[in-house]
Amino acid sequence: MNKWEATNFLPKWARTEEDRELLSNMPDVGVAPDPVPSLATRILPIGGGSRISAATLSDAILLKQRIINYATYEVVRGIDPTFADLRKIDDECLLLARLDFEPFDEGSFVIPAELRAAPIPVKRDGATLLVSTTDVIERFNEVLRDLPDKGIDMNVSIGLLTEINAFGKLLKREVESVEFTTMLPQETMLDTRRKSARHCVDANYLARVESIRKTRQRIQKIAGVPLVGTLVAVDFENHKLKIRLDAHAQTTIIGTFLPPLERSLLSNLMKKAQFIGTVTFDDRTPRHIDVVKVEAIRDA
Amino acid sequence: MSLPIDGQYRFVALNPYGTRDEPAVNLSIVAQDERAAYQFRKIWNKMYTALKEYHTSSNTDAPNWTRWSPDDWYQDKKAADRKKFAAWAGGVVVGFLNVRNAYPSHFTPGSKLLYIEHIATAPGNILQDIWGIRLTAVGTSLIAFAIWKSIEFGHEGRIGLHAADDAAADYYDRIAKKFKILRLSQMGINGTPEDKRAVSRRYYESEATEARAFLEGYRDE
Repeated sequence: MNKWEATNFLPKWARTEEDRELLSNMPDVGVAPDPVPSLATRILPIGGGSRISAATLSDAILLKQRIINYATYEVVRGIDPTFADLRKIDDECLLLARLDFEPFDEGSFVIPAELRAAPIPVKRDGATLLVSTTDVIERFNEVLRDLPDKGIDMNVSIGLLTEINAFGKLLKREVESVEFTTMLPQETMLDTRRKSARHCVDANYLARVESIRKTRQRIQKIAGVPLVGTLVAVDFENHKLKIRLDAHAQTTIIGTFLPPLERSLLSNLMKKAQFIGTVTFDDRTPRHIDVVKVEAIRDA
Repeated sequence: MSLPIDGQYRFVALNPYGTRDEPAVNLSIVAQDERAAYQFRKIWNKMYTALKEYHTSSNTDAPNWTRWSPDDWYQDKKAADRKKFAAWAGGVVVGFLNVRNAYPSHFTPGSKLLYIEHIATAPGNILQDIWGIRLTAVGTSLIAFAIWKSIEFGHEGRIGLHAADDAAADYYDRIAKKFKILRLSQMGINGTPEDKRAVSRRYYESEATEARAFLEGYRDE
């Protein structure tokens, strides 16, 4: 019943060797619909084992969803480096971030998931843009790819960093590494800058993330901070300056300034003044200032 | 099993391991059903996965068709006009054909045709680094079957399709020259509503007389 039925019948075109050769291997016709943006996670147990605990599996799934929640928030609402509260992510973002899990591949811990939500309109700079799940996956790729190299300069929320770092607890238990493979729709992939990607999160990667996270927690940027000190050097060509602070043990900090401030900086060179701008603190000590205003201090 | 003859035609696949007396196997081309979907899901998908894994491990690109999803197309209820067929060799699904009925002919204005949305032979019929070929010419029989269906739907054998890529287009150009199954190619022709990029791919259409002549090659005499 289920056996092939052999036959001596050949269609006309197949009756010569040459034609048979030409026609036999007709290519498949048709094009797969654009793949839905997807994110597969492969968990590699330590020592190539073939079992992991339910706790590890569920943690991996939850972390993956939380990372996508943050990535979605960042593409929809913008990147806020201080953002770390999942509860503040609104329903619209959560809908876009929803991972639909596909059946697991047998024989491995590959957890495929798709982002099937429709794009949502987002108002930005007076225009309405459509933000899609492709944008979410691209943001995910950008963060996972660029984080180790950009370090603390990576513009990413501390919440997202913390979630990536949380994969460390899986590695402490029974996992050697976690691989993420993203798939983007083909038309996006034509642009080589926006490619599907693979990211391996292992002990080295997480050590780097942990170091960045700790530095980020220590270092804070605060706008509108006044610092009193003496302007000891100005580079008018590169718009850089050095200020010796009155406080903080007369620490000298570097900074930048805007071109319109040149005249007032010149008049305050080697004088005590108040410099107002965005200050980067390292554990409460000012390290850098982007000056937006200078106010002379008159000696009493 | 009933003899897989559709009307007076016999659709077959060539068996590279067959004997001189039995060089082919009969195909039964019928509407897709749950049994076919099961094989798409449990066999084809796993072969796609195996091949993708192989290409991942060897750092090469997997063929595009490993991203196909015949089971999803079978399940999809949105494209209500999609007609879905599976080619069986005994108990094995060796190919499938998805067509859309009554698309406009671009070469015979005012006429309609059967538009081929997908044709595929089973992954095991495509030579790969990790497996050899089982059967050949499944796709060609499916084309002949589509011509036969086009006649049944009243389109006189006209079929149309878009080549998936340049390599496929080269193939159609070659067979267009020799067999005239499909001819003319041009860009800018719409495909299905779901296929937004069809306009940028080359389009082929059969001329009714030539298509019927090709189908006649499958007449079981």
